[in-house]
Amino acid sequence: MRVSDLISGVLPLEPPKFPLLPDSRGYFGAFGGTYVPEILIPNLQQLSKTFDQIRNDPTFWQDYLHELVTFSGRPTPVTYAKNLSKTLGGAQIYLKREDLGQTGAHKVNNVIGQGLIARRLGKKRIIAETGAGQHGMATATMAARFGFECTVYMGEEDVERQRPNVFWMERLGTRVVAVKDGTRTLKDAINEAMRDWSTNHEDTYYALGTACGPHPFPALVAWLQSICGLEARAQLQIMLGKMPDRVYACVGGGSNALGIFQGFIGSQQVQLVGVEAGGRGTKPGEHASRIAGGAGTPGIAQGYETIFLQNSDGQMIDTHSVAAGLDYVGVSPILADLSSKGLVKMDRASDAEVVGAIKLLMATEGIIPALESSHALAAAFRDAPSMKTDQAILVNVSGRGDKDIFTIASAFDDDSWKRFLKKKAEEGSGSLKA
Amino acid sequence: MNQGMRTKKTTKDRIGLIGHVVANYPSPEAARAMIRNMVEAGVAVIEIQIPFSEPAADGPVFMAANHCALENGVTVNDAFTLMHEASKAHPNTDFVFMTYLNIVYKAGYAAFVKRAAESGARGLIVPDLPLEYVDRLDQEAKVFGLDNIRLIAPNTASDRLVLICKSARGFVYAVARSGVTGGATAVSTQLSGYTSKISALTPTPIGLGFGIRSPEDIMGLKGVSDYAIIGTAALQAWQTGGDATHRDFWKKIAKAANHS
Repeated sequence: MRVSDLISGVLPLEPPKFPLLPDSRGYFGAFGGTYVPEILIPNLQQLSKTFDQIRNDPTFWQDYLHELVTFSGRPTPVTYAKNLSKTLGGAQIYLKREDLGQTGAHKVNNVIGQGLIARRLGKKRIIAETGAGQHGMATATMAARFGFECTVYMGEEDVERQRPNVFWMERLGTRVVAVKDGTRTLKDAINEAMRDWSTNHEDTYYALGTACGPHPFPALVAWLQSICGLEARAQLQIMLGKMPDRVYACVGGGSNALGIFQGFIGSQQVQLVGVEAGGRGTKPGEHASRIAGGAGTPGIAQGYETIFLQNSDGQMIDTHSVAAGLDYVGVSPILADLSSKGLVKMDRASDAEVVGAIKLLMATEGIIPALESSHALAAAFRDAPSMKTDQAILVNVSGRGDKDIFTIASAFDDDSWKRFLKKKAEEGSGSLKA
Repeated sequence: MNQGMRTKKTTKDRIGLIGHVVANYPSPEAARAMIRNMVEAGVAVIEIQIPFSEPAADGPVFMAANHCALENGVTVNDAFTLMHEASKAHPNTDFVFMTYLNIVYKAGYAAFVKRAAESGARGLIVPDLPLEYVDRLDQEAKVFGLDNIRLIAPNTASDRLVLICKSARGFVYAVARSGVTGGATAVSTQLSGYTSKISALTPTPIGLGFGIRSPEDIMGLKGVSDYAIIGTAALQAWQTGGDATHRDFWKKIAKAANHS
């Protein structure tokens, strides 16, 4: 293996073919569609048309790559986790390092693409929803760089959990609106962004952050994220000379999973594993596993048909995950379809397993993964020991864990951190008085 | 089997009224009182909204009402009970269900529509069900004699408007402006252009909604629309002063509409 190959031979230079297109009604098998109030139909039709154009437009792809390479640090590396693999004593583990991109997560891939689309459509203002804050952060940096006015909707509960991201978004010039309705999490932020878009459809572009919502968003976001999987496939070919046996990714909405899976979809020998939030139990309200475990049922909400966590009347129910980015009630219609056809296996990891996975990866490889990505790691760590040492696992480290310092420190019950917080709080209130 | 809605085109000096309640919100008694007030004021059509956890087309007032109703434990079953009671108590008023598609989907299209018809509903309003996907609900609605109401927005393209109007039944729900329910709408000459475009395409009466709040709005809409749909302003009247204020609100609206 030559290091120079890893630098020159990894980026997909042509617009990638997209194997996951929906039918003419926006459906992927039994899931998808465009279930929105009439006022939003013209915008979605226009976006659909634009998506069809850019998919075959080398100029768009060149602009996209240029921005990702010069602004966001692509390609992101694949790291061979040698110590970790040895510790677990089974399959060799490789990590796709989306945590190293601009704003520390895969979200930027989507945001840059949609920013270029908004520019093409002549929009002046960008709106977005965010759960963990990662998509909001990525959007805020893009908006600052591209010169858009920007508003990010975030559930009030997430605003409280992810204060550092809120701080940075606001400093980047974005207006962060805390959504106080419903369960005050990601789904409510999506509802509110849709309402904003209904009102301001002429000058505003809605940059949806995951492969969910009405058509064409699921397909558009999945296509923009495919760069992650295409790079990883090329990188493993160079590093390993073969395909991995399994690929793991966490699934909130499903954009990082669809991104990395697209490098390997259609290869019979590669098993694709999506990992949902197992939370603290299997009762309703204790987790956010829509597919794994079978708690979710088909429904139509938030503009599309998929598997939702809902009650028998069709009301969405409360979810829980230690990771704010995984507690969404729905899931990408593309993943619902792939999983119903047996092309993706859905699994789950509990809050406790996730904290264990973070500890292990930090200790063995010096990498701090996001709570979300650690779900994929936890499932991979569970499975690796029962695999052979000549087998390979690829895990998408979709984001970095710095943002989770408050949650992780409290999970680790770190006394000196608690003292630090207390001291800072006292200093803070002191300076407010002064 | 029901006979569908009894809506009709109106003349220049008169406008019909369409009102709205969220099932059992703020309480079962309050919802029933609101219905009574509306019937007394001569409201022709009353929408009973089945609350949904993701009310995408609703503004802050109805969003909060939906969530509050759900927190109070209001179920789909409760909404059917209310429909049954109201339609029986007020046989000269047309009652329709307004809700989001998941409520229908989850119950099963056929089962939901059958039960709606048995409860006395004459129509359905499902704001997140665009033309592309209406066939299934239309089919069941036809079987059970319900009108599946079409919605139109100011930015709906002309070719699409033709298709929507072609299959309109009961009334055409013309959304008066961008956005969600509850904001203000300026009654303007633009509106009359909008509704005359619809009238040219279908003999089905037009109901104009979103942002109609006052007797002045109603006066301005005569000759522009066959019906005026009032939701948020009436609920706010209840929230401000309860039964009396709500009754008074509808009296004034009815007077402006030339009902009394």
